[in-house]
Amino acid sequence: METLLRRPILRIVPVGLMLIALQRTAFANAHPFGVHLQIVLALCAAAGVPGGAERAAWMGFVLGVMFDLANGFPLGQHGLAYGLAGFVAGLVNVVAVDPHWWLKLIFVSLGGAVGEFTVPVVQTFVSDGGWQGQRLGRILPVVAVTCAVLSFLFTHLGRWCLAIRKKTWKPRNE
Amino acid sequence: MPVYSVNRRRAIILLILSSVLLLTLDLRGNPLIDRTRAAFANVLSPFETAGRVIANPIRNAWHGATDYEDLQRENELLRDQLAQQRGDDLAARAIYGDYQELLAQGGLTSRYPTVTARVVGGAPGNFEQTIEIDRGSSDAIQVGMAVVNQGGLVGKITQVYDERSVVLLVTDADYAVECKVSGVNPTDASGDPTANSSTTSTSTADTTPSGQKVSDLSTTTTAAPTTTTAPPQATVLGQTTTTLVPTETSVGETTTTVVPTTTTVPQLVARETGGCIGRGFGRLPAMQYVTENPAFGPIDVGDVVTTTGGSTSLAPPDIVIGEVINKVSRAGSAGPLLEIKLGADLAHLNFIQVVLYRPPSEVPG
Repeated sequence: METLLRRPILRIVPVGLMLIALQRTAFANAHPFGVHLQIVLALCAAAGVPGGAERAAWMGFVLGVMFDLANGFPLGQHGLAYGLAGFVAGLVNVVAVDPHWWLKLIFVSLGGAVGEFTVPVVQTFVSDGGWQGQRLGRILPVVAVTCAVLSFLFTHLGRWCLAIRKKTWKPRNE
Repeated sequence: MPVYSVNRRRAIILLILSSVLLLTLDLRGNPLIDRTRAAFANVLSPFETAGRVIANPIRNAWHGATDYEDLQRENELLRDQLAQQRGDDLAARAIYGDYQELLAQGGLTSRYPTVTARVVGGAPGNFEQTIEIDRGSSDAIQVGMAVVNQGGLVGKITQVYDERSVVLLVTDADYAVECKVSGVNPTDASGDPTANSSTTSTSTADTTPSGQKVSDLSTTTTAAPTTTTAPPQATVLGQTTTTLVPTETSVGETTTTVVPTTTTVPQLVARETGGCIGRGFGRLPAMQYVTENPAFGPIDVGDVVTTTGGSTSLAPPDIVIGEVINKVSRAGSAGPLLEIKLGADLAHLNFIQVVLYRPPSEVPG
């Protein structure tokens, strides 16, 4: 039973439902600089720090598909975007074995920006909408900063969702 | 650790392929995905309710703390407006009967049944222009139905669930609707007396042209003069307007003289039909496929754009979209692009009406 409860999917889905609900209610009217804050995207990006690129990509994909289902977007649009966000943020573990906090922030911001950037790119292919031109110049920094700020909380949440134990370092001679 | 390990490459390829597969299935139309989406909306509903319960007090507290001065200023402004409205209200009673007649003649609500809904949410992302309303399939709302408010066309329904629906706004780049642009007939505008009769006569008639008793209107003498700008759809052709002028006949006694000013509003004629498209954030919607045939007269700034209707159009005819605000000339045979200033204020939507209209081609039988 305990093994079953530790399965990531059983944690990601309820957490995703709660975050999507919050995104659609509490954050629906939060538009700093005219930009919608993306908390689900922030979780996907933050999960890359403890989970690594592959697992964060998978988690981002699941959350993105849930986001598409909830909002009636073409299925897979945010799945791809959020998956890429997690993947890019997870690359921080490639750069350093035990990365500094500021390095994590940079990668989470980068992951968030890549994820948000992917949405209009995909929209360009699947609908008449899409390219936002100059607006992206305002959206991406705000989303990136949001992801960075929320990563302090969401890194832990992402670790719990992916059922990853925190790294502990022990001296070799003990 | 290499950046391009086999596992990592496999993960990214799998991610892209899965997304493309899902996108393809969804865009081609898949009933299984539609059912999943509906089921997911039901699962999400209690979470959203809980989210609103938690978020509303926090949001209210935040707005209370940050917007206090704005609220105070707005409150003072509203008090002034309220005082003015009291005066307007008295004047409005006088023309209420006429207004009812107008609605019966050409009002949208009298022609098609509508469902009034409250706007409960906006777009969750940065690249869509949608709103969410608190009515759904349980109120007979269907995908494609037009959404309007007092100002004019707002958008169309794109998603329907039991108790909520998603409305794609007119300004979204995915939006398109058949439309026509109408202007004043040149013969009317030239002041041809036969076409545009404007007579003013003063009389002491007991009733207004619409049959309302003067005694019922006597309170209008206290009303402050106000200027009311009617929304485009409120303009009804050939309607008689009545102006009440107080005249003092003796010391301390005021009687009301009805001055029926019969003005024939110039007839609007459809100049061109075309397609109205949204163009995304920060850009006005536009009308395209306009050939500007000189036989129908020139298209000018200020001409009214309305829906065309027709057997396949999802929107019923004659819903006001807005007015032409700019005419952009284009090279070649593309014809001019008419930028439209919308009649509806999409930035401040609270209540909207869903027009329960289905095009004739979709009505069974």
